[in-house]
Amino acid sequence: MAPAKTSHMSGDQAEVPYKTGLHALRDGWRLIQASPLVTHEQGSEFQTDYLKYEFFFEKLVEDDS
Amino acid sequence: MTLLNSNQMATFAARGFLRFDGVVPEEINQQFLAELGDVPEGDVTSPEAHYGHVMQLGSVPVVPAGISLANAYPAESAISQLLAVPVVAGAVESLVGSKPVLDHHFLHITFPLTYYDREAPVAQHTHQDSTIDPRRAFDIQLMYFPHEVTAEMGGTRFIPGSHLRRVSEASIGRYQNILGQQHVVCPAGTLLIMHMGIWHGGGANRSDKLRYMFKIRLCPTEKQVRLWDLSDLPDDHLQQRPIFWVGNERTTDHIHSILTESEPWFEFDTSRLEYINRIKFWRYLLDDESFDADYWLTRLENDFE
Repeated sequence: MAPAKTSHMSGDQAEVPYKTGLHALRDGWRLIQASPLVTHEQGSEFQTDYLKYEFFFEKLVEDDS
Repeated sequence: MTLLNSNQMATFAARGFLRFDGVVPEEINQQFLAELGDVPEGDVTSPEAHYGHVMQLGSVPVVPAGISLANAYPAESAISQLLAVPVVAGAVESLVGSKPVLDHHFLHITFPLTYYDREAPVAQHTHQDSTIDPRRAFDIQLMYFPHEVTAEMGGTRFIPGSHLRRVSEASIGRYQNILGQQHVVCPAGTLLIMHMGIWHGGGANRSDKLRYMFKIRLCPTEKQVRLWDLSDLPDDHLQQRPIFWVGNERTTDHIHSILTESEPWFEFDTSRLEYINRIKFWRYLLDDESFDADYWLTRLENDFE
């Protein structure tokens, strides 16, 4: 059976799918870190901007089709 | 007018917004809706036609950027009256002084799904208004909700504590949901005052009613120093308190506590940079470079030639 079609948009989830990344790992997800740690440039060490730690979670599932 | 107190100012410095539920009296809300040309939902044929109708009535004037706020609106208009509500006038003066100018204003009308023939509209992407803005001075955005906003109506979504992050407008649209995000659900006459840098976006209207939100962006014409009511600033405000090993007597309403309160979405290490930036912001507001909270800047400034 094909998975149900869902439509997502900004702000549509009030709850996080997992409390922490560790909880996702325990539920069978694999974590792939995607953000290198970058040297803090002199003079802008304290500047904040985009979210720093991006990563992927992936989970391999059996497909009976 | 009622100026902001020190805890409110510190909260604005730390979280980037202040919310005043139902602060505008109902008669002004009703006057605002009547002046803009609100009509029963059944009388609105299309979003374009209704915007045209509202534009034609002209209750939201077409004014040049940079006009003095004092000259932007007719004296008896609902907008002038809501700006004169003592709490509103006091908050504006506390944040951008007594002679702010208007950057722009806009009446956002969010229509129910029944007004769209084809694809249903979705929530607006998360964004920071205007463009990258590295100033220490700041503009404010007033968001006025003239009627009750229910959860189904998709009130403005915003991320507390995001205002000091330097990002480029819609580049943050990829962040669809952030832990700690808030959606405005409020009674009629609610005012949200936001620092220009707050990440935000409008929601999709899933109700059967039109949703109105009137936004005004105001710019200061003076240094934003000690403009609020400082009479409650504690005597020990410039003194340091114990950190890390603190015993059992910590109060959460202490200004140092307000400036060092984390948001649930902060990365653990970056939260410390946020505290540092808040402390620098508070130094600007206080015009006192000796201020510090919990030693974050004193430690870094302890250097020798």
